[in-house]
Amino acid sequence: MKMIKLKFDKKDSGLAGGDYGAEIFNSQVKNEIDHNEEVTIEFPENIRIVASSFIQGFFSELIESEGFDYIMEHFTLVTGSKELDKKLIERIR
Amino acid sequence: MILLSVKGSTVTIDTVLASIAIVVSFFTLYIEQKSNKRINEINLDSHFFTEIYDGYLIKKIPKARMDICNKNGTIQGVEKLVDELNNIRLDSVFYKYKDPVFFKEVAEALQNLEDYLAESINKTYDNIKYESFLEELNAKILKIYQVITSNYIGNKKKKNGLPFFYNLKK
Repeated sequence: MKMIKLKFDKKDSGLAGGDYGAEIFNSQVKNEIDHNEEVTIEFPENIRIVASSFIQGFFSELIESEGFDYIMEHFTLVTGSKELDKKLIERIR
Repeated sequence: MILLSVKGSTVTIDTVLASIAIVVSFFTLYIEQKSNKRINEINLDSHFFTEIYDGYLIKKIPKARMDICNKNGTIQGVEKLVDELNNIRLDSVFYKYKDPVFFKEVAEALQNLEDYLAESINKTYDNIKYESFLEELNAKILKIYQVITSNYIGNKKKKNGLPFFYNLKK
């Protein structure tokens, strides 16, 4: 299993925007993953809010090419709180 | 009284009036059917709207809005409202297929506020900036209410912007 720790500006505790999400995926994740590999994406602990636009933009390319189920099967999202982990999954839809 | 006489046949005023009455009756019936259909659609929509949105508009959004405050120059308590906005979006998915125009409008209004809230916690606020934040916050909430309630009372925007009779199915 691959673990990728996302990096953001330290003052940012809220993430929003589809373009920003896609930009983070392309710059920090895309070239680090192999097809069918299980991946854990770890958000910094200070991230308190991840808007649906961000997470949808983040996975937009993969959803388009592989489908939603592929994301569910291959990706685990980890934040500073389990409650937010669960919300992130719901917000991908 | 004879009104016209053409090649031996006659048309009386009574005949003309009866013909007009028949045409008017058919037209009235047609309009009434269309009107009833529209009323039934609105009633059905009202049922769905009540099921989906009443709880959010009346209680959940105002309650979540009350959590938001400014503590030492940072915005706190936006999580609950962000959660409710996402819940509304998920509950509205039904309209993605039933009324895509409405769904797009609702989704945009919800996304707009959600992004605004998520970004707000990255900034610092003095009293003036916080006042301005609250004004914009309230305007974005109002927009959501307007989009939802205007559809609720039947003020649907037609896809092509033409009056209703251009959009009646043939």
